Amino acid sequence: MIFQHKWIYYALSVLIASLSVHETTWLLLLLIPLVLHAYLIKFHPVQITILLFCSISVFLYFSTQLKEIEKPIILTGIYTWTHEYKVNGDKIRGLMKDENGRKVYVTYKLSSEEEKHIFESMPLEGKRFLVEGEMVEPKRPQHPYSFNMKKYLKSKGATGIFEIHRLQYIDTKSSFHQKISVMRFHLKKHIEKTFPTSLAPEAKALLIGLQDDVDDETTRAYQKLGITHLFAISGLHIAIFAFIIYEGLICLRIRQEIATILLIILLPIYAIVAGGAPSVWRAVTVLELIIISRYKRRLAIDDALAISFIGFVMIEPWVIYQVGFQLSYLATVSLIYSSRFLHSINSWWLKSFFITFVCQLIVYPLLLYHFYELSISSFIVNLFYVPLFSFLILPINIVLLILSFIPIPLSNLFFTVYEPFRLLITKFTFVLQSVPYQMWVPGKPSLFSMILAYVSVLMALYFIDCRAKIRYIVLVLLIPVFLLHFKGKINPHLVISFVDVGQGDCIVIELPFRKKVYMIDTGGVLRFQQEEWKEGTRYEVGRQVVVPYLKGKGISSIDTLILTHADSDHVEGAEEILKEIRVREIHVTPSSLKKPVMNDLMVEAKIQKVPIKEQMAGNAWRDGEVFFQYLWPFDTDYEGNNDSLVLYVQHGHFHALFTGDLEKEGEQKLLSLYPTLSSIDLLKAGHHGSKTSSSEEFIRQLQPAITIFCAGENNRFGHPHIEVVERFQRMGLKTFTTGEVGTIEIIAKALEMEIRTVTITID
Amino acid sequence: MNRNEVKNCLLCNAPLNSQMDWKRLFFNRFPKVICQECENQFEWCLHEQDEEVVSLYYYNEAMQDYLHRYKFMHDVLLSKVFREEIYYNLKNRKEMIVPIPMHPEKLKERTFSHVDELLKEARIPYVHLLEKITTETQGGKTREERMNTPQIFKLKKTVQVEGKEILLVDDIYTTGTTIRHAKRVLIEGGAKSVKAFTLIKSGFYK
Repeated sequence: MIFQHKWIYYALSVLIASLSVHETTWLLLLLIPLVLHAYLIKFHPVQITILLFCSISVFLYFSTQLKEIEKPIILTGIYTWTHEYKVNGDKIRGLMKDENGRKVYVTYKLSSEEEKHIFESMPLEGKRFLVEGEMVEPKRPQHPYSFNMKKYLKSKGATGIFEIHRLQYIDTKSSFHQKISVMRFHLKKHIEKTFPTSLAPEAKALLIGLQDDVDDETTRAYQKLGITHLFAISGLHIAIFAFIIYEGLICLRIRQEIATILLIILLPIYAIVAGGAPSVWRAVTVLELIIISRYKRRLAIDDALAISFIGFVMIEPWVIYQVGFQLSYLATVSLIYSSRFLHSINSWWLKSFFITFVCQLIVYPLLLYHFYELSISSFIVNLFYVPLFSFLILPINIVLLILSFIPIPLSNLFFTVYEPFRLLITKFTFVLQSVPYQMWVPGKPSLFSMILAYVSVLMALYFIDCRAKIRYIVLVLLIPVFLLHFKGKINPHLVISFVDVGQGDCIVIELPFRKKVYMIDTGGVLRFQQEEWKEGTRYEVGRQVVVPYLKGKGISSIDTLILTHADSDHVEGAEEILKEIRVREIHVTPSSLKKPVMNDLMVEAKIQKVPIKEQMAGNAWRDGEVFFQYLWPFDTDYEGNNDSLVLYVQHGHFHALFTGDLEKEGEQKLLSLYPTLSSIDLLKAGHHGSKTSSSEEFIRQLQPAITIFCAGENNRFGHPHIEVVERFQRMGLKTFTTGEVGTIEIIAKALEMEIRTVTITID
Repeated sequence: MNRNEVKNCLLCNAPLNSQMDWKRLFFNRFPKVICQECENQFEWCLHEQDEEVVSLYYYNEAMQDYLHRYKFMHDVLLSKVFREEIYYNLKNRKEMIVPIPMHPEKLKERTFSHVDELLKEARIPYVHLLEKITTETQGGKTREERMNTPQIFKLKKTVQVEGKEILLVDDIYTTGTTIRHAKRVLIEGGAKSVKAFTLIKSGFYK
C-alpha cells in the first residue's frame, strides 16, 4: 500500500542513474527535482530516504558494470553467438559474448558460398567459436543525421567492433534460451516453407518478430502512414495472444487456475520466440506482474509498468538508448495515465482516435529526434489499421500457422482465399501512402526544443485530464510545433553544404531564410558485378546518407536538382532522393539523359511528373539577391566529364563556382571564355581533386579562398591527388576534403564565411 | 497512512484500486473514494453552460441514486465523492462563496447541511449570508408551483453584502427558483453581482 502509485519515482531514479553513468555524473542533479516533487506530493520522509539511497546505489552498480564493458577484450579467444546477428551478402554481423559475458559487435567475411550455407542453415545462438581478429574503430558518421555506429554500440552495451579473421567451431552451449531460439529458427524455416512468398514476411514479423524480410517499400509505406508499430510485437499483440491461449485452454475444459498458471509459463516462452524485442518484454512482464499480483493484492498497472522498467534497466542499463524501448515504455505511460480520460469517452471512434492521439503525442518529440519526420496521416490511418491488424490479420496468421502444421493441405485452401484479400489491402496501403503532404519534416530538434516539446506535451496531457478548454490545449501544443517548424527557416544567410557521400558529389545550397533549396548532384555508388551469393542488401548512398541529411535539417523539398553530368558517383542516388523528397525540376547537361545510368531517374521523374530540363552556358536567373549562371557547356554533345554543368553563384560579395567533373581542357576553355572570372570565395574543385583537374593557371586566375574536394575516405583513385593539394598549398589557398572531415557547411555572411565541419564526436 | 483512508468504493463497495492519471502524477490530489466504474456513471455537464450558473453534472440515474443516499439516507460520508471536482472548480473563484442555507428544523431532521458538507470536504471556505424562512422544499413541486413560490430567503441580520461579489452554491439546479430567490435578496441587499455554482443540473427542460 505504501508503495502504491509510487514506483514511477523509483523507475525515474533508475533512469537518471543510467543516464548519468552513460553521459555525465552531473545528470545526477536531476534527482533534485524528482525528490522535490516527491516531497511536494507528500512522500513520507522515510520513503524519500529510500528513494535517494536506491538511486545512489543503482548509480554505483551501473558504474562498475560499465567499467567492465570498457576494458579491452581478448583478441584470440572463445566467443559465443547471441541471437542478434545477420547474414547479409558475404558478411555476418552481430553480437557475440566473450567468456566473461561481455558483448562485442563482430563482423566476419565469409570465404565461400558453402560457408555461407553452413551459417545460414542453423541458429547461431549459443554456438561457441574460437576466434581470432582485431578491434576496428567505428566509422565516423557522414553527418549528424546519418547512422552512427558508436551510438548503436552504446545502445547494445557492446564493447566495440571486432573484425574476425578466422573462426573455428567448438561446441554449443545449451540453455533454456538457446533451446527456444532453435525452436524459433525452425518456426522461421517452417513459415518460409508453408506460407506463400507474398505472405511469409508478414507472418514472420507478426508471429516471431522477424522483420528482416519485409521489403523496403512496404516498410517505407508503413512509416509514411505511421503504422510501423503494428509490425512490432507489443502490448495489444501479447494481449490477443494471451487471450487466445487462455480462452483456448478454457475451451479444452481446463480449470481457470491451471490455465492461468500455464499462461504465466507460456508468456515468457513466447517472448523469446517472438524475438525478445524491448516492446515484447515490456508487454509480457507487465502482464505477468498483473496476473501474479492478483493472488495477493492487485498491483496497479502503472506500478507494474514501473517495476518492469526497473527490472529491464537493471539487467541492461544501456537499453534506454534503444528506440524501441523508449517508444514502447513512453507510449504505454501515456496510455496508462490517460486511461481514466479514455474510459470516460463513450463514442468508439472518438476513443480510438484519442488512444492514437495520446500515444502519438507523447512520442512525437522522440520520433522527430530519431527520424526527423512525423506522419500526420497516422492519426486517421491508425483508426482503421489497428483493428484491421489486431482483430483480423494477426488472428488469421495465428490460425494459418496452426493449420500449416496439419499434414492435410487444409491451409492451402485458406491461403487461396486469404492471399488475394491480403494483397488487396497491400494495394490499398500503397495507394494511401502515395498521397502527398502526409509527412511533416521539421528536422532534428535541439535539446532545448526537446525539453520544450516535452513540457508542452505533459501540460497538454494534464489539461486533457482536467478537461480544460480545447483552445488552451491547442495553444500549449502549437508553441513547440511552430518553433520546430520554423527554426530551419530563420537563417538569413546563404548556406552551402558539401555532404559526405563517400566518393562522389553532393552539394546543398539553401537560399537565405531557406526560400529555395538547390542541390548539385546526389552522390551515388558505382556498382561492380559480383557473385550472386555475395549480394546482400545494397548500400544506397542517396537513401541512407543524403535523404537523412535533408530531413535532419528539415528540408522536405528541393526546388532545383542540378545533375552536372551522367556519372554514377554524381547521379546514381538521384532516384532514391526523388522517392523521398519533393523535387520541382531537374537540370541536366545536354544529351546526358541518353546514358543508361540516368534510366532509373527518368522513370521516377516521369511517374512524379518532374520536368527535366537541359541547360547550357548562358542560362542565368536570379532568386531574390542570389544570382545563378551556368558557365558551361557550350555544345550539345555529351562526351563525359568535360561536358559537366558548371554553375556560378553570386550573393553580394560572395562568389562560388561549382565545376562538376570538369577537367583541364574544360578549365582552360572556361578561362578563355570568362577572362574576368576571378577572386572566387568558394570553389568546388573539379573531378574530386584528381590530377587531371584544377590546373595551375585555373586556380591562379580564380584565387579561390576556400576549395572543397568531394572525395571519399581512402578512395581507390587517390583523390584528391597529392600534387593538386600541394598546388593549392603553395599558393596559400585553403582546402578541405569531405572524406577527411565529413560533411562541410559553409555559411556565407556579408563579409566573411563561417565554415562548419561536422566531424562530430559522440558524448 | 491517512491518504488512503477509504479502501473500498463508497458507492459500490468494490475494492479501490484507483487508476493513476496525469493529475495525480503531477499534483497532490484528494484520494479517490469511488471506483472508476461508478465515476463513469456520472455524466459531465460540459455544454450549455452560461456565465451566471455553472453546473458540473447532469441529473441522471446514478446521480439520482447518489442524492438519495446522501440527502435522504443521511450518508454524510458521501460528501467526499465530488470534493476534488468542487475544489478545482471553486478554488480560484474570487467571489464570496455562499451556500444555500437550510431551515433550522430541516437541519435537525437531516442532522447535517448537505451543501456545507460538500464545501467542507472540498476545503472551500464559505460564509452564510442567508436564512431560509420556509420549511417547504422545492422538490416534489411542479414547474408552475416552483415559479410562483413566494420569497423563501431573507438576509441574516448582521451581515453586510453591499458591493460584494457573491457565488451561490447549491446541490442541484432545476428551474432556478431557489437561486433566483436568493439572488434577489442579495441584490436588494446591495450585492454587486451574484452568480451560482451547482453540483448538478437537472434535465427539467430536456
